[in-house]
Amino acid sequence: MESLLLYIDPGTGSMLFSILIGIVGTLVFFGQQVLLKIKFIISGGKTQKINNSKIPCVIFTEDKRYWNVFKPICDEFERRKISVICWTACQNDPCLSEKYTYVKTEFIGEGNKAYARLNMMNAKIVLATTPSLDVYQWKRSKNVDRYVHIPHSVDELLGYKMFGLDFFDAVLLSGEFQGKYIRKLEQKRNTKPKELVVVGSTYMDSMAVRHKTLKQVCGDKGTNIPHILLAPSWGTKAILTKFGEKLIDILVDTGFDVTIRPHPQSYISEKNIIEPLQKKYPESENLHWNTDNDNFNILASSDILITDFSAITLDYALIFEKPIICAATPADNAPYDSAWFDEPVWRLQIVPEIGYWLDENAFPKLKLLIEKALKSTEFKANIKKISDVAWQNKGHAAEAVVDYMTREEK
Amino acid sequence: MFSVLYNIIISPIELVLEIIFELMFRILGQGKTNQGLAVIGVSIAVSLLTLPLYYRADVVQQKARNIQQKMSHWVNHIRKTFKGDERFMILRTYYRINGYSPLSALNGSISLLLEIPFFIAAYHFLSHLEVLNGASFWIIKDLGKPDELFKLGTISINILPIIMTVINCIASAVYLNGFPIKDKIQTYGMAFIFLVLLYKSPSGLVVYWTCNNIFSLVKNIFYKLKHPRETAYILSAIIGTLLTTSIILSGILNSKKKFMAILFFQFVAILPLICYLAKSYISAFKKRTVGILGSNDSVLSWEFFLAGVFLTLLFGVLIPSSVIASSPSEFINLQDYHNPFLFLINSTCYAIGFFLVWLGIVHHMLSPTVRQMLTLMLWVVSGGCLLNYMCFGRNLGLLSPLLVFETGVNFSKVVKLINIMVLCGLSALLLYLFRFKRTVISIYIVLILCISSVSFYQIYIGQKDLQSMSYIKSIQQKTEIEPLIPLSKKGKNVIVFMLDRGISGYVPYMLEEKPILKKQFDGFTYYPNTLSFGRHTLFGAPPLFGGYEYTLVEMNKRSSELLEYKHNEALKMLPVLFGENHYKITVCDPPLAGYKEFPDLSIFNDYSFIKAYHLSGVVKDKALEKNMHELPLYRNKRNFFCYSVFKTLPLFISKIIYDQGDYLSHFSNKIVLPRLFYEYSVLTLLPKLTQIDDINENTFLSIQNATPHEFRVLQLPDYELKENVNNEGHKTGIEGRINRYSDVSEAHYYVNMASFLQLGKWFDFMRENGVYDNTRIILAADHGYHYLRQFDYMIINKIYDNATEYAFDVAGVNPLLMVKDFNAKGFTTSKEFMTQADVPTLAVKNIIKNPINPFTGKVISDKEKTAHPQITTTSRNYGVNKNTVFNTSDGALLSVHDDIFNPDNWEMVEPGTAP
Repeated sequence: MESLLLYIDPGTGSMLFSILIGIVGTLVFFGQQVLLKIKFIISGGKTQKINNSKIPCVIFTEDKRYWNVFKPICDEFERRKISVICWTACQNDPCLSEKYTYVKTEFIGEGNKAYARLNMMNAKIVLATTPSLDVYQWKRSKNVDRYVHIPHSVDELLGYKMFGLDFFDAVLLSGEFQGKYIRKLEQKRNTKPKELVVVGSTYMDSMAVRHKTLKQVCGDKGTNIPHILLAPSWGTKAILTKFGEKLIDILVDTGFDVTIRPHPQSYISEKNIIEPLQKKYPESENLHWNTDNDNFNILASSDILITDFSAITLDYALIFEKPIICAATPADNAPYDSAWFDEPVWRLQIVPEIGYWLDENAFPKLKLLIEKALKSTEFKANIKKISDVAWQNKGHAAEAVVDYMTREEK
Repeated sequence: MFSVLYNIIISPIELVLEIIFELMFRILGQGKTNQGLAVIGVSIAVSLLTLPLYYRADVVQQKARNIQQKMSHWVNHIRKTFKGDERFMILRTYYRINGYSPLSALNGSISLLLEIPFFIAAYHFLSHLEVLNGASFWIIKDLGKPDELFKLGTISINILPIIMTVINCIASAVYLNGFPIKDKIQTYGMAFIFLVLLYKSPSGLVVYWTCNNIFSLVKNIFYKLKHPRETAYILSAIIGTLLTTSIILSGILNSKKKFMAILFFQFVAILPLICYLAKSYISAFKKRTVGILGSNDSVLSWEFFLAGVFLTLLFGVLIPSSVIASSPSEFINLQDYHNPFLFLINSTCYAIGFFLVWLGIVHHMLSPTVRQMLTLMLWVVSGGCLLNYMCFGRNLGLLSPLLVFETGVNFSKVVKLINIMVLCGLSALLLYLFRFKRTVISIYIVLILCISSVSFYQIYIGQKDLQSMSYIKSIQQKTEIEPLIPLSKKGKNVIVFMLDRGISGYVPYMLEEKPILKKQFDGFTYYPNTLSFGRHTLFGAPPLFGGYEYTLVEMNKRSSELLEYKHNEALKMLPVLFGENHYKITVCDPPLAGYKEFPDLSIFNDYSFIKAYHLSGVVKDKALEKNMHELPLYRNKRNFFCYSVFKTLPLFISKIIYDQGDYLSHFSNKIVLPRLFYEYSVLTLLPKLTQIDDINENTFLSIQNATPHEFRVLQLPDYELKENVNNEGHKTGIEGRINRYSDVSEAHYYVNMASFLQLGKWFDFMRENGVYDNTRIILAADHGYHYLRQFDYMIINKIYDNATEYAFDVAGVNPLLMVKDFNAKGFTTSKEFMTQADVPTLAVKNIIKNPINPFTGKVISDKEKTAHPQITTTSRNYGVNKNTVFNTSDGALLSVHDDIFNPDNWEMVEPGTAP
């Protein structure tokens, strides 16, 4: 019989090649999918029984660093005596040590174990700040009615990995302007429009409160010497790795107070860079190395922040109303949602309005730039303007979030 | 495994092709050039059948191509940006956002892939089609060989494959207009490969592919048109009308059926145009039906799947298993022993292929609304099929192992009308019920469970029956014919020869047609006025071998013993009696011994002096075998499924698929019956089977042969068994001598005559060897045949026969009886009232003193015959294996005395009043 297979209608002959390619392609594609599933199962992602009863509200936090986003919300639930469940995938998440009556916190395991639990969960509404729902291992559960995203930044939200927000049902915005970008992406990708609700920013609210308290406690600092905080990111493109001694020399030469706060990760993976630097530039009167767990105090005490560009830059400017100097290292935005836009994203556009871009050519006049920035009233005014756009509903975000969740849950 | 897959995927298509070819061939007439036309017809049919698949493939592929084009920028971006698992996951997400799945992209390819089975089926079918060999068509001399149309010196060049390739290239050029160069190279490359592959193939095959290419060309041109659909509809109507008109004018349509077929073709040709014109009405209808259907967009519909399973079980398992289980041994081919239930694998494969695979594929490719319509249609069809199978066409008479009904298939107009009305009512009910999804699913599940358990039970019963016949397996085919039947030259020989369904009424006609028979049958007395005690072997064989103690009335009196026991006793009576009187005993093919279709010879195990043999199915006449085309039961692999279709169709169309037992096959089932071959082989081999002994010993032979039972038309003038009988130019033997002409009666005459001619040869052999005069020969039949209706004097108008639905025909209970005593001369006819129960008396007469039945101790005599009227029956109750008495309630009990052809001598008897 085998020879019969050779007799195929000549008219369709050429198609056979494409069929063959199609089949092989599909086999490879599905092979990958199967492989991925197997990997998932091997690493502990066993399916679990669906909870019998539907949970009204679930907060899911992937890491302890997002506690600042969720704490105000949990506090609000507790204050209103409304039950909520808070799942964390981080074993030492501070939420686990909170003593709530109405907020039930639970560690659901890490990695795929957590995803397995999430993928089978049965709830009316799930609030999370983790992006990329239904892109990576975290899948939409068929038994969840509504997935709601709450951002952990106040920028235009294009900094997520591609398709970061596409499979959420709703996004709680800190400012209305974020909605425009989300809608544009929806149009570009022809995806279902999400519900967009402006609630403000919970972690910004907390930081503002903390800043206010700190100010009341410590008052103004006694000296007029500007305090420069150099807080780089880590990795090959980060400013400390790239410019290192050259930059520190210039900063020390300014005669200002300089605090260097390397990224915690640098102490782990860039020891070979940090240790020689620490040796060469030991602690002195106007040069300090900061390793505090909580960066709030050091941020609050600085007058200007020199850093690589990240979301924290904006938070710094808006909370402390101080200018920034950002390294002009061109960030590769190819993996992010921002790649879908031809123009520079909002958070980059606003940098010249609240500070300066710093490149190697500007090193000789860095002192000048710092002084100019510190004196600039325009920057101060711009920071206030941007704050009003990016961070609306100041001080009431947690209430708005809980209002939204309790309304939707019904 | 491969053959199962082949049977599931390819065989159903091949079956459809075979039916198309056969219908074309029949409409066109079996002229010598019509094979080519039929091949073209098959090509057109295949192309039309696969057209929707092509169309879907193109639409889906175009969609996929568009999406791919749209996505290409970001796909490249993602591929460049991400690595490893992340790349895969991001890509998958992007595909999902665009509603693109590599599987759905493959859809287009799947439908193309699905066409491959069509081509394999067509290839397999055409390459095994013997009618192509030697058939000329147009300029081709032999469709079974390469065309060799052009000769260059001694080299022959095949032109047809070149034409095929040229057309292929044109079709490709049209299709590839605007495609990248890579595609063009592939396509033309393939065209060249096909040229190489098919260059030396039979021209019939090349004609087929050339037509496919032409169709492909036309299709590609249509794709390039602005309004391809509309143009196609109009062209179809015009070409259809032109073809129909030219066929009608050519005058090849010589029957009403063919004319109707052409009209149907015309209707099909113009149907698309009509539908197009009535588009607005159809869409309104669609809207209405959608209401009934409800909405179901899910890809897998449980109702559809369950319908597929239900129909598969009904067609593939239940119906065939019920046939096989009714008499498993009949479906055993002794030449090649296989468990007959293995036929179920074939029928199930066909059913899976049709109802689960192909219907599933069609279902998958339809739009959700049409998909639901298909599911609804299957729901109604399932109900209709079950109703037809359970309630209609149940009494169609005996079914041969080749699934041919002995008496044909005929339904009265009233029954057909009732059938349609009941089906309409059921359809309405089912349409109403379809709204209730759960009910539908529950009904399906219940039916599936029922069918499964009934089938299982039937198979279990059949298997048990087969186990009790395990001796069949051990029977070896005899390659060399041994002389098994001893006849003594010096002693006396007694032969009781039962010819199953030997027709008494034909004897004078046979003797008149072949006067040599009178010489060969010298010494015989023919008893036309002979009665049998029923119309079936179960009733007729016991009295024939056991005498008046074994008539139906007498057997029923011994109501505490199993019928099987009494039947066996009757078969043993004469052999034991003669054996005890020191005769050398031979028994061959004792009918229904052990109540088994294939005789169970172990009933003689207690008697060492009895030599019992199977002859039928064991000895083969090799000269006859040459005429056999294939293992006869082989066609059942296909026909069991067709039989299921026939049994489930509405009565008014079921006859079309039954096709007089051929089931629309090109291979006729009427050619030859396996059993006829086996039985007739025994008759032709009788001289070789006979051992002439010189010693002074008496012999007794009890033998049964069923050649007259397996009625068939044979080759005249010598009544030879051949596959392709052509009797044109011959006068049929019974022409002008019978009252009514019918296939059945004519065919009975042929097999009776063939039996007599062979017996005549055996008698000649006996004469030549000096054992004729010292031999007493009793030729007797167990019964006649009630559907014969050949002789007016045999019709008893006052008695209605509910089996035939006509007046009672005595021919059914008028068995052959001819007796030749020792040294008898001449041929005489006696009108004495005889019954088949006289046989033992005749056999022992004057040679065994005080003949006593060794089992009952009663004297063997014919006194009962005249003591009271004799009781016979029209019953056909066969299911008697476990019974102790015959249940004749399905027929009548009739009494007769003296002249059985005198209507006044016949009376109906109330059950329980028989003497």
